[in-house]
Amino acid sequence: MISNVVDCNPLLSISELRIAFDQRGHTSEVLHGVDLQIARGESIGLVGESGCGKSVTWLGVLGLLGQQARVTGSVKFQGRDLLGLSDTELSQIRGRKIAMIFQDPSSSLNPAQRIGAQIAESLSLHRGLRGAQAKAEVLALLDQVEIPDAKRRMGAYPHELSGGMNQRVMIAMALAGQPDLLIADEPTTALDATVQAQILVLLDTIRRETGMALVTISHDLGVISEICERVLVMYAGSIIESAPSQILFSAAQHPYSLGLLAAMPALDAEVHRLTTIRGSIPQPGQRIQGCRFEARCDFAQEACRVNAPVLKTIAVGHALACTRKLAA
Amino acid sequence: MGRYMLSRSLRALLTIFLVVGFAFTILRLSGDPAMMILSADAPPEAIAAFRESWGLDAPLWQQFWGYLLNIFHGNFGVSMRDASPAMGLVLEAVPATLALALPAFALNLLIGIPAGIFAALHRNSWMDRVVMSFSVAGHTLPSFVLGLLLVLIFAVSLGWLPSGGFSGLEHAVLPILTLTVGGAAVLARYTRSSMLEVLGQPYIRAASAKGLRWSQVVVRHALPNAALPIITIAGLMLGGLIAGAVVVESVFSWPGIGRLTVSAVGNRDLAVVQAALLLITVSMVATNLLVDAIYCLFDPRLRADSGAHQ
Amino acid sequence: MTALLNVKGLQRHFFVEGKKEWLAEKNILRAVDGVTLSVQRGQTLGIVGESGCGKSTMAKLVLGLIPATAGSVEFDGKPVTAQRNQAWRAARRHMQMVYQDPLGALDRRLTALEQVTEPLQIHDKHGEIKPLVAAQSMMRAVGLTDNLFKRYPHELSGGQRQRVVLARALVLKPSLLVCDEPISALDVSVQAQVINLLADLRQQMNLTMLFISHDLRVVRHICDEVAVMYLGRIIEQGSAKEVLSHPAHPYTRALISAVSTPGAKPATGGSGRIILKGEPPNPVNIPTGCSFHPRCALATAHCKTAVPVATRIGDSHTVSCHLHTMIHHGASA
Repeated sequence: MISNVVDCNPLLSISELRIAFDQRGHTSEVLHGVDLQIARGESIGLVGESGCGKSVTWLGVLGLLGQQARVTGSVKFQGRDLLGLSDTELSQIRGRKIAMIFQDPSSSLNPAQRIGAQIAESLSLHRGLRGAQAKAEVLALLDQVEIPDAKRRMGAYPHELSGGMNQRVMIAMALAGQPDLLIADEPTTALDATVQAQILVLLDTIRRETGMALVTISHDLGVISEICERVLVMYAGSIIESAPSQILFSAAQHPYSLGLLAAMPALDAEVHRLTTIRGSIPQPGQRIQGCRFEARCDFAQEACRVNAPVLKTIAVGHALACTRKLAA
Repeated sequence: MGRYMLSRSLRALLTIFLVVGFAFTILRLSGDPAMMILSADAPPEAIAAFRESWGLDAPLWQQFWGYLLNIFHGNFGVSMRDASPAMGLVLEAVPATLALALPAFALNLLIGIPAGIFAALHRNSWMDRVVMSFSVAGHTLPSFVLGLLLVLIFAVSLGWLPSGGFSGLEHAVLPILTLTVGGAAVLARYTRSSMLEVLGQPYIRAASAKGLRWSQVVVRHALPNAALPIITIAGLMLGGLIAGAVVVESVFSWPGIGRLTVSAVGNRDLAVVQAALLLITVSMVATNLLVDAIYCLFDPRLRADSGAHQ
Repeated sequence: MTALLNVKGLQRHFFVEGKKEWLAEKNILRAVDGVTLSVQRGQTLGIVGESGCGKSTMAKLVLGLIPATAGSVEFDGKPVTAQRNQAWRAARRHMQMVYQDPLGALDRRLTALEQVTEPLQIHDKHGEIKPLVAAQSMMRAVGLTDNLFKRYPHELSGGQRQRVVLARALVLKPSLLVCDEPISALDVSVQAQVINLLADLRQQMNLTMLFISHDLRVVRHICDEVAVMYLGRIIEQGSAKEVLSHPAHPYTRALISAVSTPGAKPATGGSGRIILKGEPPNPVNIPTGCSFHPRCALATAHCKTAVPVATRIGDSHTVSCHLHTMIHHGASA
């Protein structure tokens, strides 16, 4: 098991998670054996590009992938394996112990229901609050997520509020159940830059105040670096590197991580030609022997085509999956 | 909301006016009523006299203007056949049509909507395919074919039910059944596609992520949003049923508005046709207005709501 | 050297349904509210701003895709109108656009090669340029390999699609290329490829570019000049290096501080991060005076009443802010 600190009692422990989809007769595997652990109150980030599996992992953990998904492995949470639970049992964990917020807040809210009612629904479901008690708590939650003029805003519909407001509503809804873990799937991608900053600060503040763990999923390394203590880099369905934030951004080891960092133009550096990663991401479900990044890697060796890399610890808290570097 | 309904109402009035005007014009230009009523080899003086007494020799716009004025006085003209008030004849036929339309509508809703929801929730499974096959069959089978088939099976071969007429409850069964099959089929298909569209929306997954059980997600979040297009279709259907299921009424010799209109058109019985059309148009327009109002209630985005706008 | 593109006092208003009694005056949405700028031949001007600032509307106005409510657009000395006549169609040859959504920008029934050949067939009917040859060479120049020529848009990756869009836009060798968020929809590793490609092509073809984006880092990288828009007005303008390293306007400073740089200290708490209060407001309800004053921590009473004018504070660096002297000459290190 890879982890930041030797944690005998992690909040969540995922082991050998594989996810495949049945499509028109054949099965395509999109997640190829993911291991990760989250400690209580920890803030981790999952970064990667399209098809890397960063969202699919959590949708699979929560059982939100639908009938055609085949999820195997083990996901230990508070003494139970989530993968073995029925949908009803899982629905008691969703929102209540593990909450998730999504990328486009305006379309993740029921357009025909007032936001106050949607938050109250969570309160009623998870804490049995109704009527005046529920209303008071809705106001308290709206205050916690810093929505001004909460009393009036309670009666608003999602389309009457901006993206940033709606994201705050989603966070309030997620907090209503007082979860131990919050998964934020691209929480700021659909938002303006200035609002993005506000939301990230809000998420981090709430995490510190409530002691819940936070998983931030993003394709934007900048966003991840804002609030995550530990970063996991994913590529084509596997974790290829995992390290504390500071170490990843200063001393990344995997060619892909280095490529991602170099591919971003900087605001303050001199303008230079950006280093790019040649080629493109493999199609999800494509069967590849050996390292999935090999075709795009400038350092690939013969062994890389044959041996699939395995995630191994190379320093305290720093893990890497690279056939070449680990063989050296 | 008020502004929305006002503009819709004005449009409704305009629609009625256009339909009546159009019908009026077409009827007068498409064949000589005098010749139809009096028969083709009547003497020309008789025909001329007929035309004069019915005002058919005046210019078209004058006839139309006179007609409109009469309507405002509650006078819808009289039948050219037997001089009885046209609107009276039409209104007499209404209960018969309603006796078919309302039960058929209720059955359409009770069968079609659940079938569509069921198919959507079990998308691409064999159950979905079965329901949709029935839907396609019911939708494509012309109503007169279905009606005649039912008559053949239940009236002729099995002798369980009468084949036509109007003198008892058992006479209504086959016509209602014919109307139901077509209507429920259409409703099932629209319900299914509306549900599927809603089920694919991000907020459904978000609702599941909140911890609601699937049944709760469907009832609280999917159905209310899927209801809107279904309401529109249902409204149109009701309008159509009230307008008189012409074919079905003819097949089963059911004395409703549809059959009355058809025979009046055949006889060029102008006043009756116009009165019937007026009633049909008003009822269709009224149901549409009702649908618009309900839409407004259900979809907050359509309301010019002051709400908590930033 | 005359500017290739000259925009003066450009305005574009939309009328929207108001939430008032039904006979009340309709609300005016000032999407673009008096913009003046110019782009020299061979230069790249970036327009940055958040949603509702009017930058996409600017793109359409410059190309003559929508008519202006007031003001003028001049391209190569000639006025640009939105009337779809012969002259307008002929002008398409010289000004082209690249869009945010590459899939939506391509006709899904045409192969990549057909998409790129089409402009040649439209504009060059006499066949002076051999369409197929020109199209293929352009496609190779944007980095598409031959095996992709016959593919349909849905068979291509996001980066490949955007290259097809670029090839199609550049095959007629236009002088002006307007890019509206051309890389936002692409993966990070692909963004870098396309940015490099744009820089190369710009140099090879001596392109003049109008680059619209919300991402300051990309704008810094690829643009010579930058204009910052807020609620339909330009509030700061100048060379990209100068504006982005010494921003004068409080909004620009907030935008820059909102950029997350990996490896920088976490921004929660005191790292000088500027968090604006409130949200980007609705362009229907533009505040009085300086449109930014409700969110500005430094706003004074004067800011609420008077609209600031563009003041020169450096070599081609202008800013529209009453307090600019205070900020610019203050501790902005």
